[in-house]
Parts: sequence; C-alpha cells; structure tokens
Amino acid sequence: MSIMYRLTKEGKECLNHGLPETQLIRLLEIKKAMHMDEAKQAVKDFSIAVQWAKKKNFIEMKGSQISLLSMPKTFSEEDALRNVNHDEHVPDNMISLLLQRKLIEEIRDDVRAKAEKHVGREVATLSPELIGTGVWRDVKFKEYNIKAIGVKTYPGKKQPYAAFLDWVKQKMVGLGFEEMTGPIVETEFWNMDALYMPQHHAARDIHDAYFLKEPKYAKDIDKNILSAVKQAHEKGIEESRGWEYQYNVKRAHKLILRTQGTVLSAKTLASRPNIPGKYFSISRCFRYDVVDAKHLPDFYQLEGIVIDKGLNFRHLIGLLKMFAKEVANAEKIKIMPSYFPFTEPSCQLMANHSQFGWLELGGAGLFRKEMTEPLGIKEPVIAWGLGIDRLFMLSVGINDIRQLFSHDLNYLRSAKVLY
Amino acid sequence: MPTIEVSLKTFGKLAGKTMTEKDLEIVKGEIEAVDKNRAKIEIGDTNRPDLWSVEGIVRAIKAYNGKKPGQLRVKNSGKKIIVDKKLAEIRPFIAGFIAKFVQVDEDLLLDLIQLQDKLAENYGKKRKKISVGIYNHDRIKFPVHYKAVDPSQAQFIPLEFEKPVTLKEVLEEHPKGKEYGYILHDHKLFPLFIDSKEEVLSFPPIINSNYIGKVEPGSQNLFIEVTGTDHKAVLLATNIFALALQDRGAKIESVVSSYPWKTKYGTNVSAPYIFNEKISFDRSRIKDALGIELNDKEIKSLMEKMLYGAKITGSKIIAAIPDYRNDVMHLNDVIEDIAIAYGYENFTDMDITSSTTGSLKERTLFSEKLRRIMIGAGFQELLSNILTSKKILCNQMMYDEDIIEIDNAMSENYSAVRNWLIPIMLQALQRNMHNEYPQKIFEFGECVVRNEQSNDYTKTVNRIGGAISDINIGYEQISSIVDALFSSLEISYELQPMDHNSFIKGRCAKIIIDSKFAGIAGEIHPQVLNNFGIEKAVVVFELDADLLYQVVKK
Repeated sequence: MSIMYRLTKEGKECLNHGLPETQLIRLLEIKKAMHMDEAKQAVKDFSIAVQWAKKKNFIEMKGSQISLLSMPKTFSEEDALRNVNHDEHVPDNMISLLLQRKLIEEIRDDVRAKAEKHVGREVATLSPELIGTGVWRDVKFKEYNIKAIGVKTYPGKKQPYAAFLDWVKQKMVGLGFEEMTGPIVETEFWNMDALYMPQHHAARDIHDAYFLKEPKYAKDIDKNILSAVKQAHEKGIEESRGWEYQYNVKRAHKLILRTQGTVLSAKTLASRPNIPGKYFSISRCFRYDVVDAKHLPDFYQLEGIVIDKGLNFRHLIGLLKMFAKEVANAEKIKIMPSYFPFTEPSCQLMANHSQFGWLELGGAGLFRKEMTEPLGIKEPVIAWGLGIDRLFMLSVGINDIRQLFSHDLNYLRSAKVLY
Repeated sequence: MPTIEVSLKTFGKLAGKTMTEKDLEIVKGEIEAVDKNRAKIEIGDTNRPDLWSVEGIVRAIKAYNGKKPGQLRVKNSGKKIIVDKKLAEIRPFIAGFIAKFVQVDEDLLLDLIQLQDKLAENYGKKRKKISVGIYNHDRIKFPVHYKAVDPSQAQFIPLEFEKPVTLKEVLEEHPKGKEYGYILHDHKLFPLFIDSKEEVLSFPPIINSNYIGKVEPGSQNLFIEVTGTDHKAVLLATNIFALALQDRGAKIESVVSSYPWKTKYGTNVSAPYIFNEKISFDRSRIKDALGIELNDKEIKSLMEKMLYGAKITGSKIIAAIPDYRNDVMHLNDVIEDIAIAYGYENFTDMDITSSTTGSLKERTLFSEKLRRIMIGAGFQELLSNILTSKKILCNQMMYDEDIIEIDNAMSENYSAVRNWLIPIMLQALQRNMHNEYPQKIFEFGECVVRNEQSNDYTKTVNRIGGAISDINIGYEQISSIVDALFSSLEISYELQPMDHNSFIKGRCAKIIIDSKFAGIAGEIHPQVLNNFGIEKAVVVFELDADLLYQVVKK
C-alpha cells in the first residue's frame, strides 16, 4: 500500500505564490540588485528565502546589498508540489526535501486502514471513514427493523389552548378587527360604572369581583369622563332618566381585577376610536367563583365592538351569523332575547352542535346610549362576546374547564396539533 | 340572576296551557332543572322583579299570545298606616294593601314565600332596600302604626319563639335577627309595626310576630306590607305582590300610608300605586334601531303583546309603562320589547359594509416571536392561571416581595396575582415528576407588579420564562438558551453574578441589557426544590418581555 501525501498550509501558499527564494529571485530578476531592507519589505519569509537562495547559488550578498547570480531554468520544488497536489508521482528525494521543509505531510494511512477493515462485512453505522475513502462501496449495510421507534421525541409545541387563541386572533384580523389590550388591575369605574352598571344594582351580583387587599383605591379617574358617567347614572342623558340613585365617586375608584373584557371596549370608546371601526380583545378575566369543572378563577374572554353610522339590530344579526360560521363553524344558529346591563336590545347566540345540540355561543347587543354618550360616542355601537373557552373545549372534547390550564406534560406532549 | 321555582301544575292552571321554549324566550328564562312537578327557571333580566313569580311569567306569556291579562282592580279600603317622623332617618317608607278571599294552600304559600324572598333578597339587596311582610288581616285593628322605638324597651313574641323578647334580644338571639341585624346596627331606634290595640305585626325588616304575622292554610284575608329605604322600589314591590295575588283569585283593597313629611309621591300615598309613567318617541326610531318597517297596527299590537299601553298619533308613539316595571329608562327599552314580540327569528340579517383593516398589537406579534424561538429550542409551552398564592410566589421560593393580594379571596390557592413565572413553572414541574425527563417547559404571560407611580399602584407586565429539569443538568444549559434567545433577536446582553435566595450561590446571573435589569437565570436552590417537592435539578430563566420589545423596537 503506497503512502499518500498532501500539501500543508505553507505548501499550498508556496504552490500559489512560489517558494520564498523563488519570490526573492523573481524580484531580483527585475531589480538585479537591491538593499536588504527593501527586499525584506517585499518578501514574506525573507530569512528563509535568503538561506535557500544562497544554498542554491542564485544570489550573492555584499554587505547589505543583494544581487542576482543566476536564474534557474525550472522550479523543481514548485513542480513537485503541483504533482503532490494532483496525486502524481514525485521522486523520493524530492518528497524528503518537501517533508523537511514542511510543505507536505503524510496522509495517515490508518483512516484508510480503518475503513478497509470493513470490506466485505456487514456494517451498522455509516462512518465518515467509509464515506471519505469510498470503501462504502465494498461493505454491506445491516438492515434495520424499520418499524422500531427509538427514544420518544417530544417536540417543542404550543400549548393547545394558546394555539387556538392564536388562531382566533388571526381570524379576527382577517375579519377586519383591530386588537385591544389592557391591564389586569382595573377600577370599578372602568370595569362597571363606565358600562352603565349601577353601583348597587343586582346586575353586579353576576359580576362578583376580586378586590385588591392593598391599596384599595386608584389615585384618580379622568374628571370629565367621571362626571359624565356619574350624571348618566344619577339623572340619565337626553333621552333617558338614568338609574336614579346617588352615585358614589369613591366607590368608582375601587381597585379590582378585571371581570370582563368589555372594559377594554369602554376604554376604546373613550379614546377617540376609528369610525367606522372594528375592535376585538382576548383578555384574561377574573371572577369570584368556586373552582370546579365549569369555573376557573381566571379565564379568557373574547369580546369586541363595531362602530359605524346607521348600524342596527339586523347588522348585529349578520355579524353573529358570520362569527358562528367563521369561528365556530356552525351553520345552524338561533338568536334569542337576553339581558346585559349595558346593551339594549340584547341577545344571545345559540349554535347547533352535531353532538351536543343547541349551545350558547355568546352574547351581544347594541350598547345603551347611557353608556356610549358619556364616553363621547354618538354613533351606534354593536358589542359582542363569544365563549371561546367553551368553543375550544367542544372542538377538542374536553369536559373539565380546568384542563385549559393543565400542567400535565403527558397531556400537553400528546395533544394533537390542531392550529 | 334570580332562579325561581315554578309549579308546572300552577303554571298550567294560570296559563291554560303547558310551558314551551318560546314562552321562556319571552321572559328571558332558562330551565335549570325539573324535579317532578316543579321547574327551576333562571330569569336573565336582573331588572325585572315582576317576572320573578309564576304569576308574572304567566302574565307576560298570556299577553304575548294575545290574551289580555287582567288589569289591577283596586277597591279603596279606607284603611291607613301612620308613619312615625323619627323613621325618616332609619327606614322611612312603607306601603301596604289587603288581599281578600285568598285560598291559601301549600302551593300558594310556597309561591308567596318565594316571591317575598326574591323581592327582599335580590331586588331588596338582602332586605336593606326593601323587605316584605305578610299578615293575617283579620287579626289587625286599623289604623296601624309604623313607629320608631327603643330596642331595649319594646318587646313582642317573634315567629318561632314562645316568650316575648325585646328587639335588641331579637337581633342577638333569633336566627333572622342575626342574619339581618346588620341593617339596623347603626341606629339607636328600631322600626316596629303595631296596630291600634298595640299588638305587634312585625319588627321590619327582621321578623313577623307569632300572632298577626302568622299565615296558615285556609281561606283568608291577608295584609301585605313592604318597607324600605327606596320609595319607588317599595311601591313597585307592592304593585308586583298585589297583581300576583289578584292573579291567584284575591280581591285587592288599597291602604293609604300617611307620612308626617312630603314624600316624592305625596303625604298620603295609596298602595298599590299608579305610577302612570309614559315614554314617547318618534316612530322612525324603531327603524333606526331595528332596521325594519312596521305600520301603526303592527306597532300597537307588538307593544300590547309586551303589556305596554300604546297610543300612536301621526309619527309619535306614546308607550304607557306597566306599573310593576321600573326598568324602562330609554326608548330603546321599549324598542327591544317590540323586537322580542316581533320575534328575533323573524329578523333577516344585513351585512356590515364598512371596510376596516384588522391588526394585532406590535407587542402581540413580538410575543409570538419569543414563543417561536422557545418552541424551536424544544420547549413545551404552558398556560397557567394568573391567580396563585403567596405560599407559591414567596414562601416556597424563599424570596419575599411585595405582591398583589386579593382582599376577598375565595380560596388560599387563588389569593394572589403572580408577579413572576418561575414559581409557576416549578409548580408545573412538581406536578410532572412521574412523566419522562428531560422536561423543558416555558410560559409567556402577564404578571402584575407594584408600581407606585401608576394610577392604580400596579403594573401589568409581560414575562417569558423557561425551565429545564433532568438528572444531570447545570447552569450552562440555561445560559445557552438565554443566549440563543438574545442572538436570535440580535440583542447584546451581559450576565453578572447575582445573589438570590431562590438560587444556588454562584449559579445565578442577572441579565443586563443597556445597563437595565432584564431578567434572571440560574439553578434553583435545593431547599426550594424541597419546598416544592421536586426531586430533580432545575435550571430556569425569566425575562422582562416588555423591555426586550423596547430594545428590539429601537
């Protein structure tokens, strides 16, 4: 088995630019003679160049002057380097010389030897040696049980409900809705009063809220909006007598955890929204409830509004039908009377589920004038909310709402990627 | 929302038909359960106490089906309630009426007590705003007196007691006194309702007397009284009760309350009270709100189906509001009733033609980037409750911070708002000790922290955190993830040593961006692992996603 060689880094450089002594005499061929300092600048490995050029009798040195004695007819080292590079034969004495000058190196033969050990045999692993030496042609590959699945892989995945919420957000954007977001800690003012829910009315019973331990009250509320809302509660607006009770300004400042996404709609209305405008929010809401299969202490709500001149109840019905089709994939729906303190008319959306029959999908209505006018809105506003937790639970067959926020990796890792 | 029990037999007798789904739609009701002959119905409208009885439901359904229900017919009894001036600051208002020839049987008694209870508990705010008393009329010597008395002097025998006790003792000893005593605690004098023979009817709003205040089955004449702090609510409840009793066959006679001051409704106020409220609007408003054209005949018929009186002259509609309703504030309330009578199913839909551009908040888009990087790095996303406990956030982490706690927590497990994600991830790892390792999890989500500068002293912040747990794991596995996040976002950052009780000393770093604190990374202290009950090492990081967003935006 023959020994094989390859160029070193220096060898490759010499092949491209010539050996140091060659570089020197090529320079002298033009200049005939030059000062040592000048030559030092021009030739990279100057001392090596001088050493070999003198040895080969190409140059002579007088003091600091270098002059050319003769130019060789051929450059044998360079030729040899070229041959090594092309795997062609090079005489042994030249090989020794190049090895001595560290311009070439031996290719360690154990790589090939290692590969050749496998010739004619059955191999399990396709090694780099087999690939590089081409010995792979002479081996047989062991056949595997292709039905075997090795160590289980758990890819990084979105949480199933989070993936669904992402899908809903994209859907909303596609339907022309702009996203609204807001803080978790709210005042009773924005969470309820601004929605025309009277401070001491039974309607607040369904929104039993979590209150902050410390501090209990916010610093302030926009004076103009506060007084307009107070007025609407106490004495009404142009066409309404209002709730007719004494409004408690201090209570309005009370800090709570947001109970309904509608608070974001109220804030949007109060801050010069686009008209026409469509807005939506997916927000975490908090309710005072015993945690069980139907209730979580905090959960997501999908809510939104549509503002435009001339909107009426029939537009609301059109919107709900579109949601039923686009978001819930329900063809058969029913729209029924309902009650919310901040809408009139109000309705609820029922959808026919192939398995569970008629289910409540959401609630909607046109915001009461007593709510929108104090916030500075003259145009009709459609408000809607869809029960996304239930929608998701139905689509994946979950019966217990607590599973929405489950930490069980067994469930999370094995959950089907739906969105 | 109030839930009432309705005897289906009584319903059938009063309505002349069985209950249908459409009937429930009209009253915004939903059947919760049916047990033998009684149905539990949840009434959606918290503002319609007139619907919180079988009589009220039947009245609405009858009208919708075109049968005119009977108007309230009242005979003047000439009898009086005399109100004490001193009650003005305690519980000023009272109204009463007489219901004659009531056939009191078990069924009726149940219904009366239920209506009394719903009016006082729900509409009456646990008897504070109003409460209702029912008496045996024939034992009363009129006129009756509604007086303010010294609670340690006045005494009577309350229901369920055998000996007379003072009003003070009623609050201390009687179960109803204990339950509703809070209403009177701030007052020196208490209300007492007595007749001309000094016989006590009741101690409003706490308990009836055991003699006049005891109603038993049989043919009877009843006296009903409502007391409270809101005059309109008192009169409204009286009207609702009178109509319900008339529907059950009673003859109603009015009683006058005589006040020593001028109330909004006069000094001598007769109950049941005729409010005679009207609301008028232009007919074009119906089309504006509902998008449908109706002629005069249709409008009138739809309004009558919903028990309004309707008068139409030219383009002007005048709606007379029933005397038992107090929820009609705006003309749209009448228009909604017209829509319900028209039938929601009969509306055709219209498209919203305005074109708008949908969009997500830039921060939402940024959060999706962060989540994608973590998923690409092989982490399983978690979604958790935001409510948790101080025990999880502080005690088990051995790290005390000023967290946001709930004043009225339902349970210890959900009594604080999370201020960081690492404890939540540790809780998740504890719950997964039986599942395969390595476990790589992350969560992106909201936390709430203190912020004295903000209007509500708090700030909702977005955080991202990740954790790895395995038998053989170290700090570098998590710093490598942090580095991957930052290099994917082209953010330059710095790791500096940090001492933190939740982490092993010398294995915790604070993450600094532009000399701002951006987060933390490290290996969890074994004591913390013990506190959570975790048996394998955990390395974690948590970053301020809002700060990252600002840096990337720049």
